[in-house]
Amino acid sequence: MQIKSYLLPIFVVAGLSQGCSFSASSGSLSDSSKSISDSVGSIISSPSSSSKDADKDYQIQVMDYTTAYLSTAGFERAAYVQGISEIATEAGISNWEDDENTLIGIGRALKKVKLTGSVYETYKKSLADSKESRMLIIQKGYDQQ
Amino acid sequence: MISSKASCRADISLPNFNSILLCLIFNLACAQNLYAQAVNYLYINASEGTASGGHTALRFDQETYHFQHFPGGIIRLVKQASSDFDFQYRYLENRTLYQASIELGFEQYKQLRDHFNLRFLLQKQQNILLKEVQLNLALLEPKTTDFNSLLTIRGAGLFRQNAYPVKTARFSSLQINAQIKQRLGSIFLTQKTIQLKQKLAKIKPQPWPENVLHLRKDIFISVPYSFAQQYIDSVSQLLFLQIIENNTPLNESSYFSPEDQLFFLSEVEIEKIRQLQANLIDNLLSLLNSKRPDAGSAALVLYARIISLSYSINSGHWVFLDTYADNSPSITYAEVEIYKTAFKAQQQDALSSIAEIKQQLFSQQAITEKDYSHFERLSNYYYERERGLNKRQEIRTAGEQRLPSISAPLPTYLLPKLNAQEIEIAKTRLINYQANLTQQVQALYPYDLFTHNCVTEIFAAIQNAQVNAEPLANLLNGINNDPAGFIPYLSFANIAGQYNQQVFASFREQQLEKMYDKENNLHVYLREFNTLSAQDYKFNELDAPFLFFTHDQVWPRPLFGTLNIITAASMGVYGSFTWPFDTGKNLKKGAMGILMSLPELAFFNIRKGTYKHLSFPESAE
Repeated sequence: MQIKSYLLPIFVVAGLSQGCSFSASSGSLSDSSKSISDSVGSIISSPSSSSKDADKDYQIQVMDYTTAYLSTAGFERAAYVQGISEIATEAGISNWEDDENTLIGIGRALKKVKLTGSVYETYKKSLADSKESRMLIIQKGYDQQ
Repeated sequence: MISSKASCRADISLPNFNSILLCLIFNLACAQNLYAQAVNYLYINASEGTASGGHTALRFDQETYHFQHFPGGIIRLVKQASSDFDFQYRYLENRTLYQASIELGFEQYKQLRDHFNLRFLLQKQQNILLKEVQLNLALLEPKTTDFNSLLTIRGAGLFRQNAYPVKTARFSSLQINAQIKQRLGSIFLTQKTIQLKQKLAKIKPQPWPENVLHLRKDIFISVPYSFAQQYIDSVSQLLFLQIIENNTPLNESSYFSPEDQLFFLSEVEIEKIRQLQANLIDNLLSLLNSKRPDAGSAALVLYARIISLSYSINSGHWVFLDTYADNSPSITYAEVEIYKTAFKAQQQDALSSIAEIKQQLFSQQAITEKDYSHFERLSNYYYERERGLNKRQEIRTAGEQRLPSISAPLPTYLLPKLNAQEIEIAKTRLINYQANLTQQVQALYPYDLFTHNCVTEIFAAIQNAQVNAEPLANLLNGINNDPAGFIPYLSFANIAGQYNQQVFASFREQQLEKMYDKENNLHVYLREFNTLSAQDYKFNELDAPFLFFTHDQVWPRPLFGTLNIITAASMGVYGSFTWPFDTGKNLKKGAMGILMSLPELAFFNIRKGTYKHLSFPESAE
């Protein structure tokens, strides 16, 4: 099927009469700004889709958010944590502080923003709440990136 | 990328082994960059409803980014899973999707994707900041509707309010509660409660840092940990401790057990669930000792899940928590009845998927919380249909989550104790923040039909990404050189010739193709050309009245268009009588029907007809 050139005028008229997609959540801005999340329908259509891919996608979400947050002028842990909790909740993880994929995502972000030396160690310690086992996994993510 | 390749070829021509070796090393180094990945520019054709002039988007594999027009006259970037985007536009809205693939090097692709993603995240963050102002204002004005809708404790609604523990063996949380209390120690709950009450008394509204109140298109801001958020977090923790202390049972409406035999548990399966429960208890104890500010709501949800697992273990039958979001959209049973076949099919499909996922779940060494969440969410989807169809009740059509979140209102006895002056000062400050931030958002992201729409914003974002790639430069030239390039269709037509193109058929187009393949063509035509006998189409409130489909046939369009206008006009006449009773709904529908049919007189088609409650396609076609 080709786009027919004789349809051009109607697209011009339609384009001028009504704009682009209007958000369905017209009552609130919040719905559209949720993180990306696959629908149940898509899971039913392919139930055997790889759990490893889902883990990787989740790590990337954590890494992207952490990378963005590390670019802010003042890093406030309490505020940062809320965003991570939201991403983890959407993935079905309640205690993300001990979740391997979350910590790997954080480690990857620290490498992505090119933190090194004592600055890196300070962030690692703060984000791991000084727990050795968590710091090791963050380091694993850092080395992977 | 291209220049690197060319320079390598030049080097290879030198009859020198070292040069060849150097080139090979260089080639290996830039191999990643040479690996091409396609970013896809999408055009979705016109139809009735939103985006009637067509829509555009940019797709990076499984992620699709597009700009949408929002209330308040702003345009913002939205990110969706590509499968969900396709389902919305190609299936439910029945539109054809056209795709032009722009090949980029690996690094260029990554740079462009990261730019769009960062833009999405920072706009989202600015939106959260505005919501934070609203939340804080609501806490200072307990009689407003915002107070009731925004100030809620996530997860607290999973538990009964003011109830005594249930003592039936199957649904008792006594044992698990005692186990957790024992591990916490006898004084933990008392000490923590005292600490939290002291903390609550100290929380006061504070001015926000200046730097978060200045929004920019390219700077990600840190949302302050506000007075209201601190308050809600502390109250959540306090409520959790009270629930543990009182051994409060789950709210009976917050859990369910599906009837199908698939949900019975064997001894081996019960043992695996016990292991999962033990892991979740460890997680809960870790959470209670965590510095995480939102540990309270996470603990409420986790504890509810631990109890529901006890119910599963005791009854030998899966018991799940209701994971639907508060205020999930639902349809009445009258509508369920119209789409009964579709819902029954969805129920069966879900059951097949559950069987497959259950097998995967129990074949693992241990069940993880993430995998259980996935399974529980799917079971919610299934049970919603089982319950609705069997008990002839409404069905929630969206809102299944991986973690439950049923909330309860902020208890009035725990409201902050502020004096009138403190409230007044804080309110004035927040109202100023709100006015100032709203003004900034409107100035940064204004929607304009000609200059700031779904097309112009995509290309502006591509330009801002400053990716050094020839295919993108060509793309931008194609748009910048056409004064009418802001129109979705033209934006695609201008660039499509330069790139690989693909067309993805709409739902109706796919169905017709299948029908013509399998059935007598004349029979299919006579059945499918009109809305009354078409097999899959059911007239719904999203469409203005029409009788004949005109998208797939050009020559009969004026005739069918005339008949469609007569149909819509009849609705309009009827609407003029019912106007006092339906606030002009039918009259408006009639007028819209005429408007959508007028182009058909001149051989043009806009309206496609929409579909509701479709099942997700098995694979993209």
